Amino acid sequence: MRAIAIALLVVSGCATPYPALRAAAQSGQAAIAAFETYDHDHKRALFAAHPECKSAPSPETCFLAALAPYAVERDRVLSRIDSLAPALIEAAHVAKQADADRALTDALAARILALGASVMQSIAALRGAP
Amino acid sequence: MNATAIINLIATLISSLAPVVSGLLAGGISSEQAKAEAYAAIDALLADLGALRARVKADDAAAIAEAVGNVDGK
Repeated sequence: MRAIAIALLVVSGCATPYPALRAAAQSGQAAIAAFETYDHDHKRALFAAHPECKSAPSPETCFLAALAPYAVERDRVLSRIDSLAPALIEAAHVAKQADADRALTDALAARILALGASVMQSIAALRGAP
Repeated sequence: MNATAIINLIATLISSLAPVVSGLLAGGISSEQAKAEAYAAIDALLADLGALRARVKADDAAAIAEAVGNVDGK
């Protein structure tokens, strides 16, 4: 009987959805940070790989041109993130209004995790892009 | 104490201790605090997303300026 009571206590304790929600939000932020880190480093490596720009009549224009192909690929990723954001905002709004509705908070966490996974896949795709 | 009384006692214990256990499992914090932290993290994520494109574009300009600066400083 005591074991059953302890098990029920643990189950009821696990029922709170908020730690999972917070963890999902933090993992989403980590994915965004990883994307920005990749972008930051890649641009500088890209410019270093264009020594001809150093002697170009207009180095700034030359570096901008060197950036262009990558910027096009990256813009697809940013557009994908932009397209996911409204649904995420709406889901967060609905979950807040519902206050502790397990299904809604789980759905919100799932959306955030999907966003994070999409960002990480995008980084991998950018790494693989020529 | 009969079986019914024991079950009632256990039920009372569960209902009174569940929030405490829930808080402990969440890292020793209350459910309200856990909720506030979760939504604060989501708000931070949404703010991050909203400003991402602008940050990336600003870094483009910074990266080019650094590269041009390296040329100038050569």
